[in-house]
Amino acid sequence: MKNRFFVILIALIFNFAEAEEVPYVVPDQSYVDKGDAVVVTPMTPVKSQDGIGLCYGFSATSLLENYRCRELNVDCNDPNEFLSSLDVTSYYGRERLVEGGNTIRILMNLEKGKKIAREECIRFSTLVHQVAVTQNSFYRDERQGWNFLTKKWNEFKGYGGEKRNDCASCLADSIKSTLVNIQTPSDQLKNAFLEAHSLEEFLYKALLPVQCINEAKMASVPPFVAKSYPGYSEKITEEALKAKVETILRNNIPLEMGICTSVERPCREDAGHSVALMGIKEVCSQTNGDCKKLVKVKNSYGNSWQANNNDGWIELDSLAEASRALGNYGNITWIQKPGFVLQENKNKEPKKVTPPSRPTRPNVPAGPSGIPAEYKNHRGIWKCPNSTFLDHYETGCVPMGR
Amino acid sequence: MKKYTITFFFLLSSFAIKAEVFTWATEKNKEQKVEIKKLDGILVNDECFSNKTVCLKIIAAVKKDKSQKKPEKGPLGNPASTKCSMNKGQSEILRDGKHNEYDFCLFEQKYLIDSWALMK
Repeated sequence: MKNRFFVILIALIFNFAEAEEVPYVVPDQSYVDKGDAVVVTPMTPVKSQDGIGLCYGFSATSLLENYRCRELNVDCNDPNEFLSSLDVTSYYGRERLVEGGNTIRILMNLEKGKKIAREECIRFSTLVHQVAVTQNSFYRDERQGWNFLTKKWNEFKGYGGEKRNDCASCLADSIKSTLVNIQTPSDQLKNAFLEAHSLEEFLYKALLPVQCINEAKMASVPPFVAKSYPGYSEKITEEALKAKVETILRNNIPLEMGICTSVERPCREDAGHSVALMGIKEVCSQTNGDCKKLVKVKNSYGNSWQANNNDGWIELDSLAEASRALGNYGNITWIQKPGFVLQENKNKEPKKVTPPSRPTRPNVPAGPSGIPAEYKNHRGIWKCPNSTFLDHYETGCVPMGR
Repeated sequence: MKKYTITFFFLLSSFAIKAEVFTWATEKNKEQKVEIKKLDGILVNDECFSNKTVCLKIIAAVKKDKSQKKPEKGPLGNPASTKCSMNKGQSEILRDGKHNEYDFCLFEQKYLIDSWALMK
């Protein structure tokens, strides 16, 4: 009897472990298109974030690329027009590269129209994971480039006084000889050590070579307005979120959604993820007449993720639930032309309702004014209840994605 | 009649092993062209395709590993590339002709296998 109990227990544990990626639910083959599909165009090719926690920057890049291609009428399939995900992400922390963050802050910092480095100048995929082991053979793997820079920064922190200058030169040389694809000049690397105040600032200064952040070579993004929904004082239902997603997509505007990729509720702190949504359609079952809304996800997990997940067409119900599990505020983010008004989905948008408060969700304060004492940090400004939220004075508590 | 039969089978076999050329940014920003084919529906390189038995064994072994090992530190990033690294593979990003990026896992320095296929 005891043995049977342990067998069941072990089976349950393994089942739970296999049940990762909950939000990516696809309908069975009995469901067929109703013929109302909208796929936002133009769409740049799918990228891969590798093992680096910059999903929120990749989603922002997708939104910006679409906006830029549309407004400036440039060819979104030309690699020279792709925007550097590293440079876009650096707007999250103003010239810092931070793993784990959110898209809205990047977009708010770019709203007035900025120039962004081009991906072809700073190819993310060649930068992040290449390390030389000997003169003729290379050890390549995810995060190796990123981890190597982190290691060198930690080494540098150990030096003080007069040694700092020599040490910076020596570590810069070590980076140049090891990260063979790094295009950052030695002088810039040396200065990155001497001028940076944190690892995140050092990564920015070390990974974005001066020749790529030269304004003449960068790509311009016209001014836009960054929006997120719901606002931190708005209480909405999952239905309202789904209706908003449909309204935005049917206006031919892509959006970013923060989701929880774990089955655990409340969501695990390290399970936040961010994806871009590029289309919507309805499918109906030929056997029982049941209909479902699917959205086209553009995931920074690369194109093989798309191919292995119904070409990215995922049930909206599952994504909306996973998004609400991550947080009640700022579930979706999008950008639009200044002055543009979204054409509402006439018969679909439900009226706003005040749902009963969820006991499992953290009680996030309504806004910067009248902040309860428990949500003030040491500087007396707003602090979110836990680290799954971004603690940001201007935007409020927004869920983090990786 | 024989001529037509040969042509038919030639066309059939060329469809069956249709290859697509991907680019792989390797050492010092050099780009290498790699022929990618489908082996039992999984994207693999020619080396893997030609050594079907060995390659399928690798795929089966990695798929079997449901332990979901994670790196000691840091956010997860792309779970497929993490799984690859945790199973003695090296994560690689390749581009197809339309510039879409794909995560591949390099085993034994020669077999490239679609990382997401290892997650199923």
